[in-house]
Amino acid sequence: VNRRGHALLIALLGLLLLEVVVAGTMAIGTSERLLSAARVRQLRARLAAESGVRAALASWDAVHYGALPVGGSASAGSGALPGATFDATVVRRAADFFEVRANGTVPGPSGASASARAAAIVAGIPRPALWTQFAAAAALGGLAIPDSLVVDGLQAGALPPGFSAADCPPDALTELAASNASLAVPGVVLAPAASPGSRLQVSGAPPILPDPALPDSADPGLAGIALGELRLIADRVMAGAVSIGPANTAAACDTMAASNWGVPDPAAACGGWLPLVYAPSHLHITGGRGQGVLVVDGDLTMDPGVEFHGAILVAGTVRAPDLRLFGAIRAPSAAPHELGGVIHFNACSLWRAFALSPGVGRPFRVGPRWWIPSF
Amino acid sequence: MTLVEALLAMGGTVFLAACMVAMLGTHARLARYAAERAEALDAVHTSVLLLASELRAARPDTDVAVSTDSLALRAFRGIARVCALSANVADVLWSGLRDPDPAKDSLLALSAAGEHALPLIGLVTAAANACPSVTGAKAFRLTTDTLPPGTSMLLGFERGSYHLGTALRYRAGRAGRQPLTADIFTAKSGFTAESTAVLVDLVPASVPWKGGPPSAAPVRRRITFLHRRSRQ
Repeated sequence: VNRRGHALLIALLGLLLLEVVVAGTMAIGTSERLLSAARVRQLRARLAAESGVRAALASWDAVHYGALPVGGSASAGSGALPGATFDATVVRRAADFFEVRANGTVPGPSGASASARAAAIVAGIPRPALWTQFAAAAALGGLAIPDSLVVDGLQAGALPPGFSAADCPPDALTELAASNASLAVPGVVLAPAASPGSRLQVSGAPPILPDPALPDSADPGLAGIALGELRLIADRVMAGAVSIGPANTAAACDTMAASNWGVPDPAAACGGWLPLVYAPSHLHITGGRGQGVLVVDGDLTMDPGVEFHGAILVAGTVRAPDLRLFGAIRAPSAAPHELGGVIHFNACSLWRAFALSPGVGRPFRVGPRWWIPSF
Repeated sequence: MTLVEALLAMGGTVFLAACMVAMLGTHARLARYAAERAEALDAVHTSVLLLASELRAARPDTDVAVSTDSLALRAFRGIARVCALSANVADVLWSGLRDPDPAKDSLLALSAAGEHALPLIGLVTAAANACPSVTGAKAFRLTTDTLPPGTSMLLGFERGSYHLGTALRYRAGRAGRQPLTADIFTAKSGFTAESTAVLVDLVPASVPWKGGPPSAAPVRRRITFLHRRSRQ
């Protein structure tokens, strides 16, 4: 009897058993590896989405996003991280409220779908609060007029000299009306004990409004932001003496020049540059023209002939014997602010300062909640 | 075949059979070890991912309360983007883990003025033209208390708590605890609160394996909150 095939059969059975053992172990290991890889991709996608949100905030384009209609959206850019990509979107949910979303994507291995995650934050801009804060041509804790001072609160909708209707969109008056219910504002809001004297020519609704809250030596803040914090967001931080005026390189505006506070001329290269300027101590403007939002956490001196378009907030004492201001000024401290010249409350100048200033347009956490879950 | 040949063949067969039995036994233990390890890893991964997704965007001071074996939180369940607003009614586009439920959910109104907590009183499908059509979102008409002016988003939350015993369990409101993982954790598992994070210790029961690593090692994960004190 030939039994030589038995050994082969036994060997084959042994091999089969071995294969089953190896295949089973490999299947468990492979599924575990795939599961872990998928979860790593999900984690990477989520981190990419969060990075996209942070990148969108870091490169915030205040002018572009500030021009979005409510409900409108704009791309906030895209980027790549090792093994992941993100794309961010800014959505304007309300006049002063934005949602910044980003999607993170990690490509899957060949044949597998990509992993995607989303992240979002909500942020506000302080523009409406600024309209409320600068709702009078001049708000002063005290007033001394060395020569003469003309204050006009009735011509809010007038075009500043050299500006056309195209430079002053209806948004200015719309926003003013939304915060004041009127296009006319008080001329001078003054501490009840302060006397304006006979050298003041004022118009407004009313011309002079006594305010028991004045004088006020507390930190006035800008739209709820403490003055000390403005250093972090200001487009320009400076103190001492400066003569302001536009600075150009070739045909472009040199926004890095310290004395360049733009120029109130919409046709000029620096006509669209309206910085948020913060002075942590005494600031002395020796001459020139400028525009934007000026905040001085100290005293402000403006030599005769200085022209400014926008909003001025001063925590200390103001000395400006011959000022030309289109916009509004607020100096709530008790010192007798020495003012002369002309102050025109102007909605267009204020709107341009509030809407076009990069510092003012930065997004802020509006409440305790900043990040929101997203899909 | 001689007697010697028969004895050798029988001995070889017995040896082979013994090897196979040993191999089968080893494989059975290996399979159980691998299955337990996979189950433990799955439980750990599920727990970490689930807790991270719940906690990542939560506010540590108001949304989360941590004790050793449980973690109570306002669990986010959806976001409503407002299409139209009246005093206490909002037409919204809802995106979420599930549809809003007045029996379970509360709302948080977000606007430039901050946030405002509200109850969810009523819910119906919004009129066809109330909101634009958006993929993945449903249009609802929510009824609540007086909505703050300027509300443009609403977050939907439910009260819930995660419990870490032999398994990770979730309890929505006053309902029973529902297991989310296998019963695999030991009593050494638990939560620890930090100022900007929650530490999650997951200690699975380990299957011994002679000469090999334990089937599942203890895992400690720090889930860091996105919300910090600093202001952007």
